[in-house]
Amino acid sequence: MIQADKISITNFDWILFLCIILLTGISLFTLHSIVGNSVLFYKQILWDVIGFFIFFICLSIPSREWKSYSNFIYIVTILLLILVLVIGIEERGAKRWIGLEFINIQPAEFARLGLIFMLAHFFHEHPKCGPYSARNLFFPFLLSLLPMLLVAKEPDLSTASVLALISLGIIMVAGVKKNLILKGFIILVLISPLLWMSLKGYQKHRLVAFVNPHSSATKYGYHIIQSEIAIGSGGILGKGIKSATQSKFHFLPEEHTDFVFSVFAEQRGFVGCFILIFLYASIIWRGLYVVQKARWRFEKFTAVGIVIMFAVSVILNISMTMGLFPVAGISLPLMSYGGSSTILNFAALGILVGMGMRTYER
Amino acid sequence: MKRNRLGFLAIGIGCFFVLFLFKVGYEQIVNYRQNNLLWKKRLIRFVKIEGKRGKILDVKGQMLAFNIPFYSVFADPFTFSADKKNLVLLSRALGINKKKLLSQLESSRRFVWLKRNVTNKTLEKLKGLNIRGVGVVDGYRRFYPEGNVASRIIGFCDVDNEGLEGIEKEYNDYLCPKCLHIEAFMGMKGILSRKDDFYDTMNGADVFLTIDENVQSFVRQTLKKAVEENGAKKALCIVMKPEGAIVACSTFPDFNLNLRSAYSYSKQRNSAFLDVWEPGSIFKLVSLSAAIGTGKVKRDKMFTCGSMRVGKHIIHDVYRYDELSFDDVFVKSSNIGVVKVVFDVGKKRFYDYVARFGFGRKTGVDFPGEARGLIRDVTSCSDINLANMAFGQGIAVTGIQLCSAFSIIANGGFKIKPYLVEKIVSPEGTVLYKAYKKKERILKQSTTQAVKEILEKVVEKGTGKRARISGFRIAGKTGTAQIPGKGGYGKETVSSFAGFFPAENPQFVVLVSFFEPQVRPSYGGVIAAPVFRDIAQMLIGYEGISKEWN
Repeated sequence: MIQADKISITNFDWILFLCIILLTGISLFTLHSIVGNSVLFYKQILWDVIGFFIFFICLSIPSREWKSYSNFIYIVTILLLILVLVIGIEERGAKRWIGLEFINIQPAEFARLGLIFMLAHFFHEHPKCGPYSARNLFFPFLLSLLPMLLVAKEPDLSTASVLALISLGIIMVAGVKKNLILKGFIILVLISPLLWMSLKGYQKHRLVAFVNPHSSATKYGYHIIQSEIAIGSGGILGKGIKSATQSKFHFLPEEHTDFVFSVFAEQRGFVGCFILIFLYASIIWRGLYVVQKARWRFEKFTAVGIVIMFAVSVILNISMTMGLFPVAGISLPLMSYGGSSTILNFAALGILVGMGMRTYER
Repeated sequence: MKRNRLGFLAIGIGCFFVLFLFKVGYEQIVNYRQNNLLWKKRLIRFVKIEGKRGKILDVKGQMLAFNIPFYSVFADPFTFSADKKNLVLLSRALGINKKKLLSQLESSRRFVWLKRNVTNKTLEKLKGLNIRGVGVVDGYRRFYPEGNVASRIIGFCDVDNEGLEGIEKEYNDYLCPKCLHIEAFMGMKGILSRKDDFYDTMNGADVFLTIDENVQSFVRQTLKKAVEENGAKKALCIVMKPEGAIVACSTFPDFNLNLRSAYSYSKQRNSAFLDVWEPGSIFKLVSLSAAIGTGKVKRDKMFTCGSMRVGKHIIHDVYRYDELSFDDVFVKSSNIGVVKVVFDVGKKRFYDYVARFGFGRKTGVDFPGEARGLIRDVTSCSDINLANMAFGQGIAVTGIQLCSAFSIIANGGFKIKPYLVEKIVSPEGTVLYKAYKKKERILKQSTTQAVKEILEKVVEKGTGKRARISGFRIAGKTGTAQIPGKGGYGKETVSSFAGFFPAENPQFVVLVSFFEPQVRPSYGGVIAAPVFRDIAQMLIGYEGISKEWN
């Protein structure tokens, strides 16, 4: 049995840490260009500071501890998801927030981590040499369906689909029989009309607008068109902060949260976008390196889950701003404004870096 | 967990990142020009920037027309959420029916007027509500502080502040604010920069009238009082400088410019310039000038004025005179006498003088729609027509034509162009326009001197005695024109008096006319001359014309 416990400072991933610092800096600059010296800006600084603390706390917690608490964390996030449906703050017809005295927390963000721990724990406890069959996966499938359904009930379809992609990714990495993949795909195609019917009016409109943004250029296609124009008009070097008016004049909705990439692309142009994408790619590369290096099954699956979560968020958010994916409320990790997501991302990256620093004794 | 599965994951993620780079590169480098154009189109709007309309002031700088704020409320149906709460609040604040409000908001346009010209109070209420998608445009509208005074001169504007009548129309091009079409960045929060001092230079030019508000309101009061006494349907008075500046021009009854929609158009038109009427004996001024100017009639000639027949027609006089000297024909205003004088002058020469005095033609006063009057064509003028014209019948003139005819005598023989605007000053202070003083000699100095003498006698001992002011030499002529109706002349008259003073160095020419006075006798010498005297007395005091000039 391989035991993981000791932490080695020499294994600290400086490259990953540098990427995180650079992205945080870029995010603060961009946020300042949008909201100026407002409360939002100082709040985000506070979140980032708290985030770094949490990063180091998570980093120092041994993997064994994470494993022993993994199911507990999963259950707590499920309870929070139930709680948000009961006492959540209703905003624009959706209950996504739990209001505390000083902050609002978004349980759906933390549900991602709970799901990753639950699945990592499962695959740790149920090792298999060959690919998993449908019978093997029935239990984890149900357990990952539960938070998805709860989040979809809020309704927050985008986070639900992120959860689905995370669990799908982890299961695929664990190894699945080929005919199961085929069956799953066929089932998905068959139930897709049903899914369409279960969508709400605005969700359908968004999907239609995604296929043809100009079908409703003033309402549902508006986000996509504005965002594409903002990105495209950035040019090679960008317009700078002063003349990046598309975002300055607040044509973009949710410019400081979901559409922060468009704002950045307009201000900094292709060069900026290249650097930003490169930084994200580096983080994922270092994450995958941790996954590869990890000797302990639980660590491997947790790390891969975090990498998938991170990658899915980045890919979906950037796709959305470029009009490659329907408009959905997915934030860009480390760039978007928001307390819950900032803290979650720092915590997840802390766990990832921490797992990369463990030394192993046989 | 197999290595190759991790590899697939890495490649999968990597593919997306490469796709992003390609997409961003395509949009920002290859497609840049088109995107940038779209960006510009979306953001840069051509915005019309407009200053405010120029003011209208009197000769001393007193404001007669200026702008007051005018707020209009609009909505953007796209951002305005028409839920029940918002609708109730809005309909309460604006006082519009909810249903009507909803129908106004049902538009695909991004800009809908909800209510124009809202009060300050409504505005405060609206600001308190702070509803998204509802905005206020602050414009302005015209306000006329003097209300009734000079209302017919100033004129008025339409809803879009374009002049429709009077000075507002005649000098609209000067008064109109400058308008700039500029490229501006437009966003959800409006134009980027707005500097109010910049807007001030865009204002229209200020128009300074020759009208003196003090004289104007005195004239108005005097006319009002006189009309109350004599029951005339309409009264008219023009006060003019001999070189053409119109100091006051008033018609009574008048109307309040700020409440003009309550009056019919016929009550808003300026009769002094637009309406023509038979002048009566006042017109004998032309006959007199023609007689002296042509030299066809000797001043010591005597005229028998018992009775006269021209063709089938008999000419009447009010009083019966046997024999009158040339001067007395005019002093006593004998119709028979003047017909004989004009017959001596001859038709063609008389017509020449009518034309010289400017009758039958526009005086050129700077007022829109001036009337030219009616003069029978010389070729179709029979003896009786000529006889009638000699004492002011069978022709139609405007008040301003009469007034400028008298100013020719007052200024020593120069035909002038009456004018209402002294100067126009741009907001920066440069003078854009100055009154153009036309001066054209049409009578000899000696002729005007002789005419003046006779006109003075009219006031001294003739029909115009009631215009006399002791210590001042006043020249004038009375006129009582019967108003032609169906089947000849009726009992109603136009009673006028026109004159100037002080005779030795004329400062003011004044015309006073009452249309259809109800007291009898309704002679101009009885009804109009005392009003002339009141106005002259006021002007003497106001302008400080001293007796020393005697």
